[in-house]
Amino acid sequence: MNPRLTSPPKVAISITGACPLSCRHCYGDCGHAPQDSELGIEEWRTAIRQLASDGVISLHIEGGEPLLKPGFLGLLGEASQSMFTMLRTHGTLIDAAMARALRDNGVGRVLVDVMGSTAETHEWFTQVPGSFAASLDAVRHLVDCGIPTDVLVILTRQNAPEIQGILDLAARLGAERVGVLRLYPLGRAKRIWSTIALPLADQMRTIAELRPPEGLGLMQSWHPNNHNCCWQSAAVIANGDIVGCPYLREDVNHGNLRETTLQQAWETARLWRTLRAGAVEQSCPDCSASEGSHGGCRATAYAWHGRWTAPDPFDPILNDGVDVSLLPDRLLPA
Amino acid sequence: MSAFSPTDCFRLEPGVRLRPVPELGHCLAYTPARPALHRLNPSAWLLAELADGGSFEAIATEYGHAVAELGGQADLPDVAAGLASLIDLGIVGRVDTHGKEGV
Ligand code: SF4
Ligand code: SF4
Repeated sequence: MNPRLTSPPKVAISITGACPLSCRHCYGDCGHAPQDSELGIEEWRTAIRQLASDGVISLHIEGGEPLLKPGFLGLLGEASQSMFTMLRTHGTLIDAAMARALRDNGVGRVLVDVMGSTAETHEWFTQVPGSFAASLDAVRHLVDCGIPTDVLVILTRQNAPEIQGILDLAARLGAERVGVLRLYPLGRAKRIWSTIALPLADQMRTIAELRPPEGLGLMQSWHPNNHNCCWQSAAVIANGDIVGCPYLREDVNHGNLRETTLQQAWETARLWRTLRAGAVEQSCPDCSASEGSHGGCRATAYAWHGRWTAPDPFDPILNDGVDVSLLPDRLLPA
Repeated sequence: MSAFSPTDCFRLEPGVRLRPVPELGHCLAYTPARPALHRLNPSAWLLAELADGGSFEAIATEYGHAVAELGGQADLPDVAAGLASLIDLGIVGRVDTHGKEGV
């Protein structure tokens, strides 16, 4: 049985769907301009004040590219007075002055996405020449400002041979940690899934072979780190939809911040309560005594099986012959 | 021996926010001056709650009562060490009792 929180201490928000890059795999299907339906900056500020008064103490901000949201620094400065703030960015808009502005507005940690250890691979994804060098410069500027900085990479067929290189590069740049993330069948990633997704055995081998340089932390989200963490997760996307987790954005809607508060949705949305309760058909027996993966991630379980209680096919113990390098039928384009 | 005198007073540093998570048996503490989120175990959580401007002696006494209610026993060095950790993390600070607040 999962712990039952009366309110979420941590929330993730996708503050805008606007982004200057054009990643082939973008989960949010982001464009260069924001969608008309996005919450405005004042709506976000009001919502964040409400979150703080409802007990949220950690705010993860991502996009799109959050720095493109007009008024973002003011929002960050206000939020960081009462909440630990983390910013996920591709970094191309972070020069030395922006890094100082982020520090001065109280950011707690910045997570910079890269998609390869070479410009060729990274920019195959981002489709913007020069974006690799700009992301690396961002890490340097952030580290120079004393901001705890992590590098994130989503593991794909193209960058698998470069993950060790990313670890080495991140260590040289002064990052504290590298997070290697699983690829999710969302947004544009679905459309090129068979081109970029690796079979599970190759994913596991890539992770197992990594040797983080001394002093660099490695975070990875494969077994037994593929926790069923829905019990504590809360997220809102750019249009105000409350989705529980950014990886659930295409399958879940617990209400909209224009009509309800996150706390009200937390208490009343039936599917959210069900997901938090954590009923699963199967769990890995090896790790069930500890916090455990507890059936694994619900987003990929549902994506492949269409049931919220199904086993996570990205978990080698629970995979049961599913080839995760092929998109499940229910997600194939019509 | 304690590093603190019985009359030293302690309170949360300005802006520090405590967010109890009783369901998980811990309390989160956010320190905006040095942006970080700390997870306090029940002992540290209790000390942080007790640091309301009172003296070390008063905090230690209240801490001792709370621990005794749970069937335990609190030693002064434990209280001093716990407060010292909270000070290191920027969660608790010493109050300047000579008229103005310390930093
Ligand atoms: S940087 Fe992120 S938000 Fe922007 S296009 Fe790429 S994946 Fe999407
Ligand atoms: S969908 Fe997966 S990653 Fe998201 S909260 Fe649920 S288990 Fe965690």
